Amino acid sequence: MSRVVLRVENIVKTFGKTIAVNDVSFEVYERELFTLLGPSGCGKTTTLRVIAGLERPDRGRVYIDGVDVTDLPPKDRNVCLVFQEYAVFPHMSVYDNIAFGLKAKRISKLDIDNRVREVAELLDLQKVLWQKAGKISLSEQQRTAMARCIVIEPKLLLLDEPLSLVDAKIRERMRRELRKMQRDLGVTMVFVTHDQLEALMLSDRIAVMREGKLIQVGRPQEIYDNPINLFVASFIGSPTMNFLEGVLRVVKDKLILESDVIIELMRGIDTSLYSQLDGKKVIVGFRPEDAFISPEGLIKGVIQYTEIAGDKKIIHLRVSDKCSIRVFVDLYALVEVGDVASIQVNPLRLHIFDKETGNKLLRAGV
Amino acid sequence: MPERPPRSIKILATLPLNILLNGVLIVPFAIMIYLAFVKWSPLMGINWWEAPFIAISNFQRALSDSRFISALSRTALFVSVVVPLEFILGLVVAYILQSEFIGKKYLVALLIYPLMLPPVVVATVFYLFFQPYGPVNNIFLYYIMGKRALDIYWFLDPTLALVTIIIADVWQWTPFMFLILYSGLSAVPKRLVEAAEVLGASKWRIFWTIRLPLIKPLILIALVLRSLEALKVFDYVYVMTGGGPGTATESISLYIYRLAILYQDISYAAAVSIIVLLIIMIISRVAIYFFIEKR
Amino acid sequence: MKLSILPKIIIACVIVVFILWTLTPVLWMISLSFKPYGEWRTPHLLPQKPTIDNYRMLFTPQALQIFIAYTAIIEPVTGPLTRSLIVSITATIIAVIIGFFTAYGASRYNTPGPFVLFFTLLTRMLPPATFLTPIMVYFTTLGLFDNIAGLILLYSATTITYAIWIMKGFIDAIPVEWEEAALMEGAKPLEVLFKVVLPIARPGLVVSGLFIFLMAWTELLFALVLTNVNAVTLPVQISKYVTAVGALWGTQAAIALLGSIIPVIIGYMIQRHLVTGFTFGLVRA
Repeated sequence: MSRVVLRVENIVKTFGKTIAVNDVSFEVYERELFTLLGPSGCGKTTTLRVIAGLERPDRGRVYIDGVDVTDLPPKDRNVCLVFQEYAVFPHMSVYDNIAFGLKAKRISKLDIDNRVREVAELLDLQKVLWQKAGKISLSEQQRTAMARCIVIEPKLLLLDEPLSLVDAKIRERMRRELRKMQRDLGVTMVFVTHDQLEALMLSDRIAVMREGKLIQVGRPQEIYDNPINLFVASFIGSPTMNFLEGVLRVVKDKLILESDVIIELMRGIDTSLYSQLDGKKVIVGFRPEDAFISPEGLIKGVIQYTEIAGDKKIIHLRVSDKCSIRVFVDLYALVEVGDVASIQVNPLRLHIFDKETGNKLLRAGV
Repeated sequence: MPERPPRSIKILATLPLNILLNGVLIVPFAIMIYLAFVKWSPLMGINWWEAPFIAISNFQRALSDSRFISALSRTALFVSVVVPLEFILGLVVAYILQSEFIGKKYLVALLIYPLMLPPVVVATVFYLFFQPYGPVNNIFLYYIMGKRALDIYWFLDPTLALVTIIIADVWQWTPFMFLILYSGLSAVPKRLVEAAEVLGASKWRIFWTIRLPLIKPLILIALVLRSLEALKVFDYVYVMTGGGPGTATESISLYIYRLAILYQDISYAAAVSIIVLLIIMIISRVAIYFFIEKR
Repeated sequence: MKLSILPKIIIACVIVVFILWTLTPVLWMISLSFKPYGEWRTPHLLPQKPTIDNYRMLFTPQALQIFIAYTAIIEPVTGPLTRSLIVSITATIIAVIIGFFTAYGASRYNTPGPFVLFFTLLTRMLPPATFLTPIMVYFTTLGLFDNIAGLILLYSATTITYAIWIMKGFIDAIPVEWEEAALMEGAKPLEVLFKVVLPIARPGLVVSGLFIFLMAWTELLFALVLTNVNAVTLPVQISKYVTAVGALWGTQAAIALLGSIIPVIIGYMIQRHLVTGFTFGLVRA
């Protein structure tokens, strides 16, 4: 049973008339990499700043290691924040940047020196240790910002979109290095990003946020397989989930969607379970990788175009005027534009959302 | 933009400036050099362009002129007292005003109005202030010293007179230092301050290790500009003490003014002016080299 | 936590002391200017019998005859006031116009080059007293002594530095692309200057203009040297009330106040740009 390092309770933060954070609560366990994920303006950065102590919440409490730190300034919280723009002190050397947080504590000069050098080696900063932090490369600045935080051994390491300023090619590598370092050091990390791929890749758990509210918290697999509402379903996953809108009908053992055309979704369903959905206005979703071409496919469409994605191909099908879907196929599948294809959707991976509220009506896999 | 300016722009950008500067300043400058090598005073009854040539006599006279030398050293002393004082006071106020509070904008607006006053006015104000029955004696010192305070004649004592000039200058120009430091400090990126906060630094430490170092170039500009201005001090001396008692507060500008207007010793005044110019040029050159080497 | 209140009290005290330090001289002057002759030596802040006699004396100094025989020198304050206005406004216009053209050339085409620009800085950094002698001789020979025109020309020349440097700062901040686009579309350089740059640079013109007005209005040294009776400007007259007239404290306070009204108004108009002005555009707030 893991220890709770951070507990955030009912945090509300407004700026003027805008509610940036709207009643957010969650817990972070020891050694976890916990990610706040969401589009810009969803309140994730503000939440992070509240945890750090740079913003005071209008309501709610923050507990670190069981201690209520809500009224404490950042320096008394034993946390550290790595800013999106790194914010290294440009006029000081890398060494002095890293040593900065240590000097406030009563540690001997020798100890400071040892710890700085240790962390510098860990992050491969030995070569630039004595250069002015304003003159080194962006990547080195980022590592300096991280080193600065790691060296003071905080209870919580907070990172605000640390990889957003990095070139796409290097980002992949840095993600892996970050994850490895977090595991090696055993640091509890709260990570903020808008990149859902990054979140899925790095995190132990993800908290999806939107417009100040916490929508869903869970492991990456959970969130991926079982999005709690339309927003999460559409935000997570690349390429995006397919959505079909219409009225659901349960006819004998068939599940049918009445859109501008009649689309048969599944056969052989458990009527007792699905009958409650009959007549509801819904949005049905399934991921491109959860459907495949099959002669027994129930959904038929005309192939509009194909594109290559890595080691697979994606075909875009037009089912009707209002319905278009994307499906992954094998790279060498014999499909051409203009062909008619039959698509079979994995019944365990069909998500049904209420059209009005966007919420999941039935858990997939049932 | 193209490398070479079109003709119309070139003329507009250089001709009027040339006419103005040459006509009003350069020609007199040449005249000054001429005057320094002749002997002339309007009292002599001849035109200045007919004055007799005396080579470097004026300059020799200046080098042994004790009044001139003391004016120089007095002005230098004045600058070296006034500029650091203004800097420290300005820094203190800028430090205090780091944090936000209600009415801060109005406070700043209030504190900077001395800059806008004509120096003559400030001189008049402090002239009134330091009168025997003025507020300094009559109110402030009265509480400390009683009736004896009314016997202090600020303008009759050589040291006290200099103090009044210093106070006038500090009063008017501390806001200058403050304003430069304050705007510089406000321009320090907020993120850097936050980063330092999160790393556990106190406000005091942040001020000295982060904010102040980042505005070093600004500080330099402020100090240099203020020092150059302080060298010119004239208005306060002229109005408040007239250079007195005797010549105890005579600044270099006042001395030259007197030479030219009071004693009408024009050619000597020109020579003295040239020497002062040379001194300033040399000091600036030395200062520039000093700072370039530091880089 | 209790300990953290003490520094706050100290800080509050320091701020209060500073406010008092800043306000007292002028408050005293205001009060003095409304005090009748008998109260000039009293320590009270507020006049017990406030009067505007001091101000009246400024406008009708014949009354001064009671005190001294210098009245030939002192004229009603309206004279120097108007003269200061005329001189300052005219000098400002000249300096701003010439400065604008020079600043544009310097910013876009490096014409005049950095050497000339540095030279203009020199005119401001060297003590004016060192120029005073030859200027006096020169202007007298040209018939510009005790003449408003002389002062106008001189002030234009000595303040143009500010015009050039401040406006260059403003013009530098305008993207060059707009002018280049206009030029490519066939506009003549002068058209570009007046129709594209001028409207955008107008704040710069206003700021430098007001700042130069301030400098011209407050100048004392050259005004003393170059004026006698006819062209006396306000700073000169203020100084005369102190040096020539003597112990007329209330009146001195009154005229000093009168001479501050316009500068303070202008000062607050360009409040945000004061630093820019005093540092020749090197420091931008």
